[in-house]
Amino acid sequence: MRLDSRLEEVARMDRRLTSLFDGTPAMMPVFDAVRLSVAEAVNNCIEHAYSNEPGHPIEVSFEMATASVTVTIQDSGRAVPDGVFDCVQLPEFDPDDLSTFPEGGFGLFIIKTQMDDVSYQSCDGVNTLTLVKSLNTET
Amino acid sequence: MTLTNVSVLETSRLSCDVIESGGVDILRLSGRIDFDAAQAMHARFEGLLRDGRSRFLLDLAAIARVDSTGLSLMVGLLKTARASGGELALLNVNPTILELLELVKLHQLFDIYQDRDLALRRLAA
Repeated sequence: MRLDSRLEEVARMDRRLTSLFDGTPAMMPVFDAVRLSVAEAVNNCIEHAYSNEPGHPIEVSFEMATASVTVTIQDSGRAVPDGVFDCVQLPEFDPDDLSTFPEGGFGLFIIKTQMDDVSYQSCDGVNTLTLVKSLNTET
Repeated sequence: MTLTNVSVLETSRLSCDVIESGGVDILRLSGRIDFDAAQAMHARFEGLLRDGRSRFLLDLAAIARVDSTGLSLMVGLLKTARASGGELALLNVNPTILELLELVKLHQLFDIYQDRDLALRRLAA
């Protein structure tokens, strides 16, 4: 599925995902995690790789296997710096100190915690984020 | 209890009815929170503060899900309210959104209510 780097495209992609993930109720938490993570990933492409500039392509592909679903998100914008996906942490804050309340930095943490495997590579100007989620609802 | 619709935010993907009740503004969101909508919402919120309002209840009954943009908006509104001496609480947070708030630990920052009358009493106190 090819998206343009516009925020309204995130909703279109989510509708497409919802139609693909027409599973049993037991699978819905798994699919919700995938939908959320893919939305975060595409948001990152739009906001960071393309600096909110429309007119750039984002390619999203889905592969459903017996035991897992794999989503690949590709863009040709600014790459995520090396190592960022390896050391994703939640922003630290003090609930009693207003100045420390975090207004960002949640997206990559959500992706890392919701997915079972996350890998990222940038090669020849194409950035590829691969997300894998197990379909085993017992884990 | 008097409910007065004092203003409306309408973007292409997010709308917000603002209803005044006993000195508290109930912000009823519906639609999808993305970056543009969050910016518009924040600007409208700052306008309410400039108008002298300070107690807010963010009603998420018509929001099925949020992502990190929605989380950032909630924290941003809370910070802005408190920096002005006000307060903001959450109402009608569904289990999906609550789970996300807990995942990123932001539930520690908010008073979260499912009962509107209780929330209004606490905020107005």
